[in-house]
Amino acid sequence: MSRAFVLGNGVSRQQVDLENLKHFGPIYGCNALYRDFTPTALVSTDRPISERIQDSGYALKHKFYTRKPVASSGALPVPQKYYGYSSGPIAASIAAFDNAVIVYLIGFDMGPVHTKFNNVYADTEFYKKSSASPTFTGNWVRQLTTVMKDFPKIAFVRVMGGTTTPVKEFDDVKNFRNMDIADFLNRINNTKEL
Amino acid sequence: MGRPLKIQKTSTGSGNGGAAVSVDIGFPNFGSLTAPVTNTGDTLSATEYLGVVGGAAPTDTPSATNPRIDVIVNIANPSGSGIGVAAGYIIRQKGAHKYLVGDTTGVNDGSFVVGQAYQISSVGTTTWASYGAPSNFGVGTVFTATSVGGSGNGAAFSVGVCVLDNDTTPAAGLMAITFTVTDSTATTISKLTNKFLLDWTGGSDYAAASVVADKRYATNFFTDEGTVIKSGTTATANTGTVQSGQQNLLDLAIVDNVTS
Repeated sequence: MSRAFVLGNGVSRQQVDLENLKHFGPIYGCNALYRDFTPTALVSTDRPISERIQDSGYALKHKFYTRKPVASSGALPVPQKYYGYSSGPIAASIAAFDNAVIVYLIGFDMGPVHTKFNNVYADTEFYKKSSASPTFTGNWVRQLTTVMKDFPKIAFVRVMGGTTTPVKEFDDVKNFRNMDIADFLNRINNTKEL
Repeated sequence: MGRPLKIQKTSTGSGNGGAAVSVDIGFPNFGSLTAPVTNTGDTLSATEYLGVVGGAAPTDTPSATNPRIDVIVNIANPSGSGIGVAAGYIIRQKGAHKYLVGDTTGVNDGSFVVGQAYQISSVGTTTWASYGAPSNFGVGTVFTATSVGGSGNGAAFSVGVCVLDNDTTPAAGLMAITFTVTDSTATTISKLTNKFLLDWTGGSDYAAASVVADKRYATNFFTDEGTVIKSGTTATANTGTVQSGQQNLLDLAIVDNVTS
């Protein structure tokens, strides 16, 4: 495997056609993504939604990772080293464990939209309202930084959309770079080269 | 230590053979209060409440409405080594940071370790009294094995005392309880009561200088949004004429829990 795509649920990822993206490599997603799209592997560490996913039988048919798999649900345990991490950073680590050479981070917006909660699934079950205050991103930044440093031979590319907030800590990681979403979309939609 | 953690359990009633009644399964929910004061986020529903309750499988009945605290344990066996990191449950509190816990990995009759404590999870055909249990044994009875057991089809959970640790893969004799705040990151708890928890901000030990610097949160099972005013304080913010380091407004933390 050469490249992998890890999807956060920040609204910037809505610009990406996920069905088209599948042709370029495995896709790792988080939490409620399964409502709309079946990724190569899904990660959910939020207990209520992870239990819902397992109760639905999803994990019997598709690869699904969580902290505490329910017996006979088909779910897999998250990598022990990253047990306490949030879903997005764990998904990035699983892509790395699966021998990706380049990991594209899409929808990892790490910031609010007009100081409000930024998530594709805002206002739906298990998620805050779109009028709620933004989620604290400090843990995500710290965890992703650790994952990227743990896999120094893998390139991590963060796709920067209009709602994606620059993160200074990432810029200090040698195997990390940003890519503008317009460039990314042009490559996958037109040139077919990444 | 203060008041020990309230434990979720059932009672068979005051009379002989009375129906099982849930005891201490939760706190009064907001729908039952005449003038409830919820969190500033106002995200708690009428069926939810602030505060947490522990629980003692296999005799309790957790639910989405009344969950019980989930723990990660590594119970020490009689030789002192750990029996392995596993999901567990609290039976009762033994000290400020110490609990009597069970390991939900079942042990079948015939596989007991002499000197190891167990809690019966399934009576079956096992002759428990022959292996160290009291004569009035039943599901939930805790005993120390005097034999590896026999060929019955009963089963038990290993039991031991564990101390809270800042590691989700605890060493022998240690345990972890995690909580989440604002995102799904699991953070370990250094001290837990029915109402509050402390993290390990001050350091990964129980030295006085470390403990006083640990951050305090208001516990519950349902939401991490908003803040609540700490009981006994009157200030509306963490400023003003308060003792240095005192927290008046507490963030809410969701304690990792089991709902089924």
